[in-house]
Order: sequence, then structure tokens, then C-alpha cells
Amino acid sequence: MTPAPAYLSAETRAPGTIRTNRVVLALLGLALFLAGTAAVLVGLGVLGSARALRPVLDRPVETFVGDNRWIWAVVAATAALLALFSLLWLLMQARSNRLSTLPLEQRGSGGHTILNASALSAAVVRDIQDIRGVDRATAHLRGSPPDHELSIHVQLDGRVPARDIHERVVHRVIADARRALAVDSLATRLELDLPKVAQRDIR
Amino acid sequence: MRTTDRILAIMLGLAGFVFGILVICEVVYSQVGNVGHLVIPYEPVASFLREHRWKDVLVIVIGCIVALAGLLLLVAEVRRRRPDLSVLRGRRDDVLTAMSNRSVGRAITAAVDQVPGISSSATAVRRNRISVTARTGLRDPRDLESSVTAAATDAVRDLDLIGAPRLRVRVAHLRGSS
Repeated sequence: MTPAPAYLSAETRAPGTIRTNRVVLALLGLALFLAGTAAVLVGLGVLGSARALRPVLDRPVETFVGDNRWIWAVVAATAALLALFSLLWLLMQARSNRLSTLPLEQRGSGGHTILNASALSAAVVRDIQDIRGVDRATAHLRGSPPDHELSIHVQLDGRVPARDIHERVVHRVIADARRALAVDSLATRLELDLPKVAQRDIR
Repeated sequence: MRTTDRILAIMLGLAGFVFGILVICEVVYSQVGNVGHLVIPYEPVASFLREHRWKDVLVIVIGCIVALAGLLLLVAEVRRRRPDLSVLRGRRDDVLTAMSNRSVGRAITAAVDQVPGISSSATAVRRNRISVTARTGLRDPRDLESSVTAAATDAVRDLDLIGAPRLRVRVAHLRGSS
């Protein structure tokens, strides 16, 4: 058992997409930086004063494009690759690691039992919202079985110490979820949030 | 930053897809013998590039803007992102409980605000460090700093954080009070 980390990043629906966005945007930033720097260096005459005096779209370039018709096939192929990559990148934004169903452990050979994940998460949310000191809660299953994880977010109202709510959620609600799934262990990520202004009991 | 990245990804993905398709259409349109553009009016851009030399101020300014935008994007993406949740000591091995640093700050602020003599307080939670700034209108704060430190320490202990952040407390005098 690895020790728990002291700090975590906020939960995300698609960690792979987050990484891809970061890499692609960093590469795009690098490309823009290099292109902009190159243009400035040419303009300042660092790469030769004769080159700085030439038009940006130079005659030899136009002549080369005019003489070589195959260049248009390359342009079209590059544009097709750009469109394909952009489409894949767009579709990737819709990815989610949330589970809609959860296959339960099979006992015997009498078929398969599948649990609707929303049934479990709705029951968990209902039980948590019954706890005094909870304003609202959300829950969902994520990952892929058997390495799935129950993720719970609880917004407290500030009337009850977070430690007490933590105890109740772990020992009552998550324990019930484990019993419902007939498992000894259920990986769970529980996030608690305190309100800006604590609510008060009206007596 | 993740949300910004996602918005940028959607905008750039859409732009790239539409631009790629339009370029293919333009190439096909011109290769079947048509003159001029189909959708993208590229002629003004081509004339601009023909009429301006690399050393023109406008071209250098555009180059600077592109380089700066690229540098900002690169730095924003490469920079290490701070984790925004502090993990609480677990009740079970299979349950990982965390609280946003903002909530940790709120818990400490609420505790410090209860200290007699404190008018208001603010808490900033960073990795390994919690800074509490409490304000008082008292002319002679005396032991107020130790009371605030004790209240903040108790609040951190109550949260039962795995990390042991250093606590830095500062008691400031309210401006305009005697």
C-alpha cells in the first residue's frame, strides 16, 4: 500500500485529454515563438542585410510555386492532415472517464449482473445529503473496472466540523456502498468543500 | 488553467478543422482551372506580403506579437501547476479525502475570526505554507499574535492534514483605528 500523497490536483473527467491539450498547446506556443523570433531576426538584418530588404513573399518563391504544380498536392495533403488532427483533438475534448455501468462480481455461472452506476451514485448522494452539515453532494463512478473509483464531492454548510462529516461519510455512506456492491474495498476519492460563510442553526 | 486549455483546444481545433477543409477546397477549385478564390480571400494577404519587406516596422511588430504570444503560451503550459487540494489523514486505506486549499483557508479564517480583538482575517494556503493575516483595531495587541497562532494551529490540527504546512501569522493594525 503506497502512502497517500499530501497534495492532489483537482479531479478531471479526462486526464489524458488534459495532458494532450498541454502538450499540443506547448508545441503550438513553441512554433509561434520560433516563427515570430525568426521573422524579427530577418527583419533586423541578423540573418543578412540583403534578406531584410526583400519582400516577405519573394518573387523566387512565387516562381517556384508556379513552376512546380505538385506543391499544391503537398498543400492539400498538409491541410487534410491539419483538418484530421484538429477533428481528433476536438473529439478528444468530449472524452470522459465516468462509468455508466459497473459489472458486479460474478458468483456461479448463472449470467452477468450489471449495476447502473447512477443508481449507486444517487443512493450515495441521498445518504450524504441526509447528514447534518452537508449543503449538497455529487457522486459518480470513474475509471475502468476493476480499477474503478467512487468519486464524491461534498459541499459543507459550515455548521458541523469537517472532521465529523468526514467520519460519517467514510464509516456510514461508503461502508453502505461497499456492502451494496458486496466488496471489502472500494477505492474512493472524497472531496470536502467549506462554504465562504458558515450557515447558522436557527433556534 | 485546465478550463482555459480546454476552451483554447476547442477554439483552435474548430479553427484548424475549418481552415484545413477550406484550404483543400481552394486547392481543388484552383486546380480545375478557376481563377481567384472560392471562400478564403487570400489575394489581399498575398499583396500585403508582396508589398512589405522583412525590415518594415509593421512586419517586425507582427513578428514580435507572434513571438510574445508563443512565449506566453509556452511558459503557461510548461510551468508546473500547483496542486489545489490538501489531503486529509485517511480513515481507511481505500478512501482518499481531500479539501481544496481555499476551504482549508476558510476553516482557518473562521477560527481566527473567533479570537477576541480580531476584526477580520485572511488566509493564503500554498504548498507547505499557510499565511494568516489578522487585523485588529486594538491599540495594544499584546498577546494577540500568540492567540491567533494558537487558533490557527488548532484549526489546522482539526483538519488533520497529511502535509505539515508551516504556519506564518501576522497581526496587522487596522488603518484609521486608534
